[in-house]
Amino acid sequence: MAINFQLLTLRGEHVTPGVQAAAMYPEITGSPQYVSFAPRWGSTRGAAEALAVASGPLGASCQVVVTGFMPVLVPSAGCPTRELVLIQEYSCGCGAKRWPDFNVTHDLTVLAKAGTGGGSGGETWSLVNAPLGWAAEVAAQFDNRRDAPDQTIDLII
Amino acid sequence: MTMKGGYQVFKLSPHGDVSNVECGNPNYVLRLGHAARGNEEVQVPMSGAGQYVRCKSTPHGVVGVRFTEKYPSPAPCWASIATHGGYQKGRGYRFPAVEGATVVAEGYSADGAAGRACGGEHVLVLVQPGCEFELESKYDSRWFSWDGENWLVESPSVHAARLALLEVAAGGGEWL
Repeated sequence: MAINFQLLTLRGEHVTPGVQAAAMYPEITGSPQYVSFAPRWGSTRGAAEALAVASGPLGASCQVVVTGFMPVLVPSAGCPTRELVLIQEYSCGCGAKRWPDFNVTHDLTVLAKAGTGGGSGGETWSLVNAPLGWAAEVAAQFDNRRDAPDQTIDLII
Repeated sequence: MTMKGGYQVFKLSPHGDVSNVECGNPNYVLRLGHAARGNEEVQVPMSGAGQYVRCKSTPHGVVGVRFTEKYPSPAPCWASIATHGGYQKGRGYRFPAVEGATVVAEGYSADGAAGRACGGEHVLVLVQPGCEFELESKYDSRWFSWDGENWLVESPSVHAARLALLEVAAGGGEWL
């Protein structure tokens, strides 16, 4: 029995429903949607372009198939029992160095990961299988004030 | 042995560029690598007329024989591949050993004076339909797939996504 996941994006104190998914090559008819790696800080040179691929237009929930290549998200309409969270950890770059870094320590299953490898600041995005309410709890612990210290939210389930 | 025609010749770069090699010119010689100290240039001369090519191995090297007719699809093709993907200290570039790709001639392009700073092979490869391989450049890589008619060039992520979707469509993978 496949699990229904609620799709969420966690970035600092923000938890937003869904993940940003788009066709990487929209000019190609039938191009699938990808959960693309599009960080705000750091350089994407040599980084993975995508963390997962969707078999159809993504909504608020999905099911997940783990393959040997990349996770495949299958849109679904069932009641979610877990969260599929796209964690966007970051350290701010040029022009925003006084804002705190956002990092998370967890023991969840990471389905895919991508990170920057240079440039000013940096980001690491990971797609994790989490229990319901996990992302909101992490977001509530992050103190996003100017001159606040860098923070690593430690939320081991 | 019946000769049905020649194969197309392409030039591939590790950055993802694919172009047709116009080898119909009577004076055309396919050059692999560079002619300089520390480098190695190999020339593949062409005989006959036409745009499509088959190669013969002789004691003096590989020779191309041109055909005016194209081998019926799905056909193998020739790929002239300069594997050098950009200078990086101590890094050499090689063509990967993959099933369906046979290197028939090989030159070498080197960096720096007298080739002291690494470089990359420049190979002529016979590519069979269904063959796919990855060419690395300095910061990135590209997957090339030959289907017997066209080249498909993909970034590693797009390649992985396509294979993942194919695996799921075939009933593979594991549901969470």
